[in-house]
Amino acid sequence: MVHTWLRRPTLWVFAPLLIILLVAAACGDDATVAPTAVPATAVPAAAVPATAVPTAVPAPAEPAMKTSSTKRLRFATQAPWIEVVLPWRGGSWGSNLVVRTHMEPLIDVHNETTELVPNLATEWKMISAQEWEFKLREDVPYHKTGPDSSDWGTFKAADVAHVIVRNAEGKLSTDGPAFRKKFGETEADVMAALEIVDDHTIKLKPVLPDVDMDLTASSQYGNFLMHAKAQWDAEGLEGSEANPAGTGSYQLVDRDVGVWLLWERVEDHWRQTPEFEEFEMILVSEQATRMAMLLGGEVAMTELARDLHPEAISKGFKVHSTINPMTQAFGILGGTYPDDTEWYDANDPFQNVKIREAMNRAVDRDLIQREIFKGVGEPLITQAYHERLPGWNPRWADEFDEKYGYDPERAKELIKEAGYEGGIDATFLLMQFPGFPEATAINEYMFTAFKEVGINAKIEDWEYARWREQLRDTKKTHGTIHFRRTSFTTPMVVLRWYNARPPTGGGSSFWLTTEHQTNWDDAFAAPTKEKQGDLLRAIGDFKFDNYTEIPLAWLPGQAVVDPAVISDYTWPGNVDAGFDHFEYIKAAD
Amino acid sequence: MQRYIVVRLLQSLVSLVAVSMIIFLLGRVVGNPADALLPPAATDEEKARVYRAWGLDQPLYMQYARYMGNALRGDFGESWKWQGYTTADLIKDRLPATIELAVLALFFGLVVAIPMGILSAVSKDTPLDYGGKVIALIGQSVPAFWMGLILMWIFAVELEWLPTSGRGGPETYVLPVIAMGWFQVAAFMRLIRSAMLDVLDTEYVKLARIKGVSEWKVIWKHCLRNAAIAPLTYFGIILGTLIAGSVAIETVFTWPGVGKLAMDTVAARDYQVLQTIVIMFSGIYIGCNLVVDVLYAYLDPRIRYA
Repeated sequence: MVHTWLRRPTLWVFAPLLIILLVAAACGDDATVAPTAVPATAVPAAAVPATAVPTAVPAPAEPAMKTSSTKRLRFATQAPWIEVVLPWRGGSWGSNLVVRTHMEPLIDVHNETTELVPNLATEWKMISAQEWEFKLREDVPYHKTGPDSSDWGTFKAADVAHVIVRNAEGKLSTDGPAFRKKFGETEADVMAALEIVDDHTIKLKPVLPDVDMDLTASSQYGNFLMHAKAQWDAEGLEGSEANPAGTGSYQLVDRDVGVWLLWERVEDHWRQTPEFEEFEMILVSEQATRMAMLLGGEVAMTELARDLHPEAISKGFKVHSTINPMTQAFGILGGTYPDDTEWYDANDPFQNVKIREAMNRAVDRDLIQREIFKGVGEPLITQAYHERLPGWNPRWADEFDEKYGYDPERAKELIKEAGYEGGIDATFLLMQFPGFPEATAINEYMFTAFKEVGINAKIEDWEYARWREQLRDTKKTHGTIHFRRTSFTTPMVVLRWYNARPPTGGGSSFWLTTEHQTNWDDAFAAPTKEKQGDLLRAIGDFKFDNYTEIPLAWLPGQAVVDPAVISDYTWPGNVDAGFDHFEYIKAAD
Repeated sequence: MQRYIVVRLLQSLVSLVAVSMIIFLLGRVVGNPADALLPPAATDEEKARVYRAWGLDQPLYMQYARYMGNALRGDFGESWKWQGYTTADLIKDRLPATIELAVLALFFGLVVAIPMGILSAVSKDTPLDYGGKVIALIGQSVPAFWMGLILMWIFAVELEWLPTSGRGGPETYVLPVIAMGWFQVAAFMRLIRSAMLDVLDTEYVKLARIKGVSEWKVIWKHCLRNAAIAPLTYFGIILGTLIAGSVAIETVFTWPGVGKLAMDTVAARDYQVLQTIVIMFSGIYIGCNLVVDVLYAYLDPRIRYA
């Protein structure tokens, strides 16, 4: 006979739960969870065309006097591949997302106008393509760091040299290969290519011509952010990484590696005092968790895939977009090489311009824009080019519909004219890229669209690293297509990755002719920006007229914010990371 | 008994070495980290430079030998994703969080499953028993990460009773512990139920009842103790599984443990860290099995002489 009290379900349900809670209460640790405030409303900024201002000297912005009632602004985002707190220790993603919060570049990109504006450099001029002079801002103090609040003085020319040397030495720095080419591999070589005129004047004398040093100094796609040489000399790498001394509007004060980073506002910052006293970046790889954190009020800002934006908006959150596009989405046709290279394969149908045109004509870009990108973004006319970037030719936009417009019947005719009436085979390489969650949907759409016109595709799942490895053995990319994204930056950077051979270019080399490579080499060594622009335009004409890629769209970076905490976030957009200029986030209260 | 322990130890060591070799090779079959981490414009010379710096230019057997040699001295290499941090530092920082979660999940599993299993056994073929079986079925069918997301949605987003993620005060433990432990509830419950059913039908239990021993004592003192041997085997395996299988739950709840560390290193191909974690997980699993086997042999002498 069983005692009746044993049969009471409430006993078996609540007793164990009570025990669990008691145990949990006994265990525990310092919390990083600090639920934030309560909801409201915001207005996204309009896009403003950028103009290059090589030697402008506007006054610095008035420091913001407003302080939010929300002490800590919490932001959930994906972790960069390499998580760094010193700029040269990893690639541009980590550098721009994290390091730029506490360190500054010589030249900034204005968060509203997207112009290059003075920052730690008050003036700069290109004396020649191999000599640039930077006048540096005086009396900009470095953060006091460490338990004894070490004082690292103010920003000086020696700090610029120090960062160049470190980047040239850096294994994973995005600027590393370029700095090594431009300045040298060793500290001695680098210092020989620099001239420190005085504490606030430095001349950079790259051994190769470089008309884009101002872009490099804006660190939009690199690691050229300023760190205190005094700290480096005194504390070395370990001390510099433990408490990095920068001049940014926020100072890094704490960190749980791989989990979160915490910054504190620099009061009365020379450029922009943030409205939020603290800024916390929480590294959350799972998108559903980021969504939950936003909905639950634990963070005021996060990044979400575009197909989750409608749900967030329906719950009262706002989507803010970058002023510049951040990402260009396009398809790469693997294995397309000119006939004077060892990689040329005459049997590869992708070599035939009619096939490439057919592929472009098979794509309904309006449908992609509407259904996959949810109406966000603008058309990408020619891969690597934008009207706000050097080398643009308005002819491409005028002729785009005529040459690239959706026309599956014409696509079929072209394939027949090319001699492939039976169809051609292709392999889609499905790869995932940060900031491009639409890759899968695009590949799936293309698979169907191409099949309709006689291109028989199969999809393979690849890792990006595997593709890059095989790219070096260039034969292995023949017959492959993959859709990817790259950044909003000067075509010189993008072309170097995709369309130029070593030694001036990178390892990949899609679509070259001898003329194209010559144009590229000349652009690389161009003595003026105008000449470089002309050569870039010539390369762009070739790409546009020969359908070298399948351009899809320019996409902005987008942040989903809690309007009760954030009234505005206006930022210019950045390579890889997309998020920066956090000091300009405006509080709602 | 000593001979049995020594033999099992040697077997475990051999297993661990074999596992380390497989993991090391598998990691390198899919490619190398230089291509993932180097800037796109890096030339072949740049790549070669990084290969040399990281020892990736050596033959695989040399890399393995160097890794194992260093590992025996406690040096598991440096992380490539978190420059300046050693693998040992990172794992040492994160391991307590994973063990904490695993132990709590196990405890949760036991304290919920034992009474439920007993109740289900003593109330065989009643609605209580059927309810228990349904819970067991759901628990073993539902993936832990899905359970985690659902719990997060209900209790953190909709009801706002608990935080969504992170490790902090006691409230931060509730959801990940339940999500992680729920599968164990189901599994333990079934084991306890079937073991109890076997024991409840034995002659000595009938004798105890005839002699007037209280039902409470019959179940908890006589039946449960004898029924515990089979679940005990599972207990050891489960602890290893919980620690090693923490990746999904830690990722969903942004729990700063070794599982999340492993997930974070995958995209960056931070081999040094990833392979060490996987080998460590394997070692924990093998170790738990070893402890259970020895314990089992201690409890049941017939085993050690088999």
